[in-house]
Amino acid sequence: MKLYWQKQLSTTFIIVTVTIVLLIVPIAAGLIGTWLPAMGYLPSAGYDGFNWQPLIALYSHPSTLTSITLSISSALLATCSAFIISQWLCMQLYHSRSWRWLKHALAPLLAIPHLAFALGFSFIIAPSGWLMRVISPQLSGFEIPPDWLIVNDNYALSLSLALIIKEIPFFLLMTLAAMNNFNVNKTLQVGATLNYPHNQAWIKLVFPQLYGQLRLPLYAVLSYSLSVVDLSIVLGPNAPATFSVLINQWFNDPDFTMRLIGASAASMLLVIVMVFIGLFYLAEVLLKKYLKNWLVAGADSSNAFELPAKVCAYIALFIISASSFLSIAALVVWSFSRQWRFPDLLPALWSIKNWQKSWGQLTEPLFNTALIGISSGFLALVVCIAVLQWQSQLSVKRANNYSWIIWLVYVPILIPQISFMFGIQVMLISMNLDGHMMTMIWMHLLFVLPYCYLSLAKVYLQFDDRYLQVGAVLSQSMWRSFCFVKVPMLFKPLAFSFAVGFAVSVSQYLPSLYVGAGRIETITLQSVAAASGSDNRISAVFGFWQFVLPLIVYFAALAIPQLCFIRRRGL
Amino acid sequence: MSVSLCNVQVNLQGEALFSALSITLRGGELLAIMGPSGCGKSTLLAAIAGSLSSELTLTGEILLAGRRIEALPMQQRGIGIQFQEDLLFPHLNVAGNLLFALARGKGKEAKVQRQKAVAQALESAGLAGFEQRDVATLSGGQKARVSLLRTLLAKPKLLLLDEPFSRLDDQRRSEFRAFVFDQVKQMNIPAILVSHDQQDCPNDRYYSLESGQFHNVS
Repeated sequence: MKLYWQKQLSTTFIIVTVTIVLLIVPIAAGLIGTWLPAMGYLPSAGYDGFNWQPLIALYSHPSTLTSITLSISSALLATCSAFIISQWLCMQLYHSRSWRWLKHALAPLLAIPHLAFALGFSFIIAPSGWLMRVISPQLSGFEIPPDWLIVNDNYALSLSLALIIKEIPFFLLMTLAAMNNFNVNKTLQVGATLNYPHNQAWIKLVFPQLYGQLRLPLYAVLSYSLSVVDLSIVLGPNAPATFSVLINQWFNDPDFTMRLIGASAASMLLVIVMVFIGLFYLAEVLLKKYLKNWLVAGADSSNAFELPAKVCAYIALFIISASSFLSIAALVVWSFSRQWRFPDLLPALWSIKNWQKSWGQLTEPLFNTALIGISSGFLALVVCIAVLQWQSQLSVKRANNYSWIIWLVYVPILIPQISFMFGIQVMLISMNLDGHMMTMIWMHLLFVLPYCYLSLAKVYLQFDDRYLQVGAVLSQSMWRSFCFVKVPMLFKPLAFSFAVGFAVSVSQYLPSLYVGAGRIETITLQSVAAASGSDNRISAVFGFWQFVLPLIVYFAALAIPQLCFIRRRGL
Repeated sequence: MSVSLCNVQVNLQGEALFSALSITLRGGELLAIMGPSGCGKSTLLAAIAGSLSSELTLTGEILLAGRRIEALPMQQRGIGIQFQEDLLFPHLNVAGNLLFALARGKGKEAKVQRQKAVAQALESAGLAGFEQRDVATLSGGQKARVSLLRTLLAKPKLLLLDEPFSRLDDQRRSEFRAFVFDQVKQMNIPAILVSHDQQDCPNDRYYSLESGQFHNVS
């Protein structure tokens, strides 16, 4: 038996190594393929020598500094606000009547893709949007939409706000997962018996135990906010745009000199992300050091702000849920509207014309999106199972030795996509692999895998492997036991993990843009293209589909295991 | 210091989980409630501590040091609880865990006093010099003692012991049991212990809870 497991261990180790190589090699190649042009070297375009020209041109470009400032300010505002508000909500609502509601509302909130939300959100906050229509003309006095720059504002505030609303549910999900690692309820009870009011007990006892599990999601959100492109195109400023959008514009410029500047800027964005992750870590270390005495300074029995704090939490929860669900409602209403004059709250005339008109443009992107999503989600699931199976067989000591391998899985979500997608594009073009469905699936897999792993790891590693051993003894086959005992018992989380992977794949913009080479259209590419146009109705139809596709898979992932094991309460 | 329970009952949707309990305990006195798992012993402690889940309701009166406490939030009742798990805070070292329980004080002198109290407490438990130790490196018995010291440093008016010995092996169990009973006497506070193990039963008062009925056995 021991020999068998050793053999299994080495087999899975090989699978894991190959997997990691498959993931890391393209990223490394992509980074090198971006750094070389950043230093003036792009032989395929006739740039053969190394020089600092692209970097100098980047520094002297009039938009660079403002653009970087916009990216940093919006990312910091969004990341810090989303993180603080999510922790605030947990602290205030834990074990309240809303807590259960919040837990149930998380899945649909998370299922809304960033881009679909951004499109719907722009329909709410725009000068001609629902918010303004509600108060017009009686309260605002506007008979026509005011000439205000709300969407695409110069300070990237609408972008920050959208990021805040979208990232709070993600942080909440991660916090809920982290809360499973220790007994929060009893920790709070101990705090209470030591005379600490609820909020203080939470901040001093619960939060420090949660933070270790939230560090990685925090860095991931920071990196994403600093480098997001599709959301910034819809909601961010235009003159100049945020740094990632500017880089994307340079990379798509017909003038190759601009692409070299883009490569230089992409490398700089990577440095910015790494510096800010480092700063966040430094802030954590300093806070730990300087708050050490405060942590054990004793209870402050004042609870004067408990009620207002709770009220604020309820208001925040209402704003997040209402804006998320209204965004989707706005997409639906716009997609069916024919005549909708300001300040009418609803269209005067409804029509399915927009759907009919866009159907011709929709079929191929929908098919491609579904194919890429299903393939990359399924492959990611297989890889995750291999990695987790290997991990579950390691002893604690060896698991600690190999923890760096697990960190490699997260690399694609910590490094900004735009920092290496150009390099990957150059590499694929040189190998004549761009615009192929297989390469597209592979590139999506890079970003789908970390999220599949995040959503599956905890449950998979907690599985009691004695079931597997009993199954192996009874069936005399480890594979049979794995397929007929372990997989069915974990069917629910496996299906959910697949759905998460599918949703992540659907939302990918840059990988589809850079690898598809214009030959593989996806629903996200079409949505961004439609959002840049002037017809709200058409972009609403595309945004709606971007929302519906992952939702269908989420529902299927919940319903299929239920149907399969309808009479099995233990599953 | 004394505690009086007058017709204390816990109800689920209007139905009592066990018969009404009325009892008075003086300082240093320990009441043991024995009964099988799931009979409602821990629920009784949760009712006294103020941590009942929302679907359960408490009826009756609880008087602690002459004051009715059943309507007060948990942190204002002045009750210490020792659970089965030690629940030491992993982000704080041994001294940090104990300092956490001490009342706030201002100035350098208060700081010195607090540290002195921690050192004394550790010494009394045979753990002198353990201040800077990471709680994860302590043995099961040491963790249990630090956890109890933390509960007692908050100067509770009543100590609730929710199967605190059940996770320890036989030798550590009897040592820790003696330590707990000794501390209760020394601090002169009433204590209520629930357990399913007859060995944990002290010489003081002893009730059994079976099929929802309390029986005075002592």
